[in-house]
Amino acid sequence: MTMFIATEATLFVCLFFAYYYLGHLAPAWPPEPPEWHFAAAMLAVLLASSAVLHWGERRAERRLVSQARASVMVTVAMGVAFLGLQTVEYRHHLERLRPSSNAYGSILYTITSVHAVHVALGVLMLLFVAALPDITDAPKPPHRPLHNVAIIGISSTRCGS
Amino acid sequence: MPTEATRRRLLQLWERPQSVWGWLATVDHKEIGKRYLVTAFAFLVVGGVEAILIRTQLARPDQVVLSPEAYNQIFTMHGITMIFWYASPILSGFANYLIPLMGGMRDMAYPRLNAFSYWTFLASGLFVYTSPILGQAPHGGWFAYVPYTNPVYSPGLNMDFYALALLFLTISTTAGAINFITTILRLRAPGMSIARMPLFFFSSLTVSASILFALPALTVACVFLELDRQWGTHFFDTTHGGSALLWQQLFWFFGHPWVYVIFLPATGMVSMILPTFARRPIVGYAFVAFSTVLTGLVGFGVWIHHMFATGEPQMAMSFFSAASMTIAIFSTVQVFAWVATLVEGTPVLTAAMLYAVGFLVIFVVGGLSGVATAVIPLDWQLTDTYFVVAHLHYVLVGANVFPVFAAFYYWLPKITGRMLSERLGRWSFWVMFAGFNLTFFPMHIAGMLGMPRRIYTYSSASGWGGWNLTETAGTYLLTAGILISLVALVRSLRGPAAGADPWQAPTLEWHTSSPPAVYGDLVVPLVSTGLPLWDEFDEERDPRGDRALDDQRAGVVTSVLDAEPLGIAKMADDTLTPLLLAAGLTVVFGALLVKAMWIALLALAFSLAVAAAWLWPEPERRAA
Repeated sequence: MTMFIATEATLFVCLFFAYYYLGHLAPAWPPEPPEWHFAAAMLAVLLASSAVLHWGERRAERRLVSQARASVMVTVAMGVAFLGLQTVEYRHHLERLRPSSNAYGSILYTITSVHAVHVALGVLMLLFVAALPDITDAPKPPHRPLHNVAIIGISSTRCGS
Repeated sequence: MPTEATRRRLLQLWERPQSVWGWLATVDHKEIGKRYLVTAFAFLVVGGVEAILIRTQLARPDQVVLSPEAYNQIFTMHGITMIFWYASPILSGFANYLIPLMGGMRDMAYPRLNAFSYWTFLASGLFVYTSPILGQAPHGGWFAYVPYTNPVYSPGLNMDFYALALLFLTISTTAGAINFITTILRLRAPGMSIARMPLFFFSSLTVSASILFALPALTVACVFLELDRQWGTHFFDTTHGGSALLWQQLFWFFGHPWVYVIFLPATGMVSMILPTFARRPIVGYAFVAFSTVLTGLVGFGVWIHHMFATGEPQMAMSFFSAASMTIAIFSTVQVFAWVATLVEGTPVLTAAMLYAVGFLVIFVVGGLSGVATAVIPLDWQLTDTYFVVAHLHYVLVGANVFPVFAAFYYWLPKITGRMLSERLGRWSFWVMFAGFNLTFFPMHIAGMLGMPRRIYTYSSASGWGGWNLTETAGTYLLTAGILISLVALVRSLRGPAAGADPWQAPTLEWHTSSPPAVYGDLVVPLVSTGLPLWDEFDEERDPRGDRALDDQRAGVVTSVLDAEPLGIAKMADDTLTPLLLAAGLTVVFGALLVKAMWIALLALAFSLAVAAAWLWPEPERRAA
């Protein structure tokens, strides 16, 4: 699972490489100063969701299963909130800049969309974990679904911030 | 002590149903390994046919056996077939088959993921090969440089096939890499410490790590290419702030480590084969292990040497030139180790050994031409000429194809239980060796005389006609050599029985029967040296039968460095989910090709549902 995270993280490293490579060719990069409001709100939601999920994992370790399940559902809600905020932000932004406008638009929307896809997949993984009959590690290591989805969520948030 | 009851229980646990379902659902590493070998070899043959067409067109000046567009498609398909769908998968095939057997395990760490890797490899290969049927095969070279491959200059589906097929294949390759790393690090037999594991494990581990960090660059490059081509973005479009060199940076950051992925496991196999036929352990085991890992590591620091003629800053290029020369040191250390093993041992020249020695000769020549082109002023003279074509074929055919043939002659008896004809093997080797050198050595000269790469014809005034005719003749000779091996393969199916250890080799895979039982070895061995069958190992002193693991499908988990037993790893049973997931993804990529986005979304939803079913907990097979 760590290896999967490593390879996906490298994917984002390559995307950021492209961002800075395109940037070094441009007279100004970003070409126009970006607005921070949505991004800050989305970052806060994501960081908080990591904390919630981490708390939930600790509860699961102590066999407090219903609390662990609740934390998973709260994390799902926060992930959905993130995606909702991003949708609103996109609607806003696409009026001024499109992926087809220039290289900056292309890389900006691609990085943020790839990230959104990963958040969406994370939400789906969380729903899968929530549906599992048993989310503790007890009876059948090495399968640790809650742990796996948690380290994906938490480590990607750490990198993303 | 292993008993008849143990054997029966193991069969009950590991046997797969002899039905269509069983064939489609199997997760047995031996079965998957064989499929990889057969499929990758088929791609080798197809790539070889493409090569014959190329060389036929180039045999004489001013020919139009192939139109320019046909030539472009064929040489591109030759490149991508060989580099993506033959060279790495064939090594995955050997790795899949051999690693559990060499390491005293009953299967890979993730058997279903293993099956999935194979199905997606097959599906992506079939996907890319529907393109020539439509007359729209990729035509931009295997390296697909923009702006030629952008939508203005390549308006058809050709390069969309390229981008999507590669994105599809990366899923297979990444899954395989994760599987190999976990298997090698955690499932080795008790006592098989890091310093006692087969050198093939070192190379498989190294390239698997390389894959994890190199493939994302290709993913990003292909995503950008597809977006630029079909969705109006401007990553590579200099008229809208993009950069054509961005493609090259991303592609070669992937591309250079990839060539090490293609040859390190093959040389790892040579490190297994040479000691057997030199009748002594390899000289400098630690040196070879370290050199392998360092090659993989430093391989990430040389990619600009594919771009020396693009106008990068001199300081940067000097760094990469130095790194490119440095990396040759590690390969050289390995060559010295292999030669020393031969000199210090008493070599037996079986067919497999001939191919291994042939590899040494060819690879050294390829390495020398590589070090030459690492020198920037020389590269400026030789880049994009046939000198580079000579270099890359000497290293790729030398360090992949010849070791693969050595591996076939060495391990096919284990896989099929039948020996191959040594006589045919020797003929095949010499004809291939002669044919290969006749084809590719003159290319050094043609390149120095100025013949460019990637051209469909050349004028008679150039003076290159004689060299090209020789090279084409060499191609036919090389083909004949390969055909001899194919004949040997077919005849071996009714050949003499091999027995468990026809070569009196040192490593654990030779302890099983030939072919091995479906559960591998009867007992999990306890290993005390790196050459278990030549020294001592404890495979039977197991009074309580604990190490047979005959009550469930499982392997022993051991610690990373010292292989101390830590626990049991449950291993997955046969299931259709890997095949179904691969099928779902095939529809996704097909839909993306024709921009049928709703179908793509539906297929994605199906794929996610299959993934959920795959991961859902289910009852395990238990022995009576």
